[in-house]
Amino acid sequence: MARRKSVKWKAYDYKVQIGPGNAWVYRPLLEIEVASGASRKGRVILALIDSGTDGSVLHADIARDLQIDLSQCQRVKLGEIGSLDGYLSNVRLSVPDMKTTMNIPIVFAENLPFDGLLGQRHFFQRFKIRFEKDTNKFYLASS
Amino acid sequence: MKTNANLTKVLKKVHEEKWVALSSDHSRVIDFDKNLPALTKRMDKKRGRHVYMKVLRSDMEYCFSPLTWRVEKA
Repeated sequence: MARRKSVKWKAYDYKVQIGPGNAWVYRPLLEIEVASGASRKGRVILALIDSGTDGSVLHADIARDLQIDLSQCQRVKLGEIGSLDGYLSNVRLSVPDMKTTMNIPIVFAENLPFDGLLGQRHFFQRFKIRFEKDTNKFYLASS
Repeated sequence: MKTNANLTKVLKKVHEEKWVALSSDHSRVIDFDKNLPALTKRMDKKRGRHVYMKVLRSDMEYCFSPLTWRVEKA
């Protein structure tokens, strides 16, 4: 019988923030480092792991900070009513804790109220992800 | 390094809708600004590793629904 390979999970606490009605809101925020080809070093940000998003979306301010020329990027439109402008660009995205780096396309959206979402394509393909909401912990392992 | 998970005491009303630079253990806000490049320019002059975060308004929740996207026709 084939032996199952053991998975080495890295545990994280959900981050707690104040939400509507002063209730505590628990969010699976993860440190990632984003860099462009032009920038020597990346920026470390806290992005939300979001299984409901297909790709990954980051705030356009991050692209500007990384000196990505948004005028040279493919333009995209996010949403329909009350839509946002966005730009598609390839970046180097690392998860420092997991010692993993990937070059992936990201949509940089203007006027996002948060820094970013890590979605199914690329991010969920690269990691095994386990959410344990009852203990407010989530876990990552290399896939 | 163990990082702080409870941001309720770290993030104040004044930080909402702004970019904050957190200490590497997420236990304090070192600086904040409406403009990320302006903030990182100041932070790059300081020592240490910093983590950036755009703080959601406390009366807002994350919501997936408006975030569909499509390539715009030229």
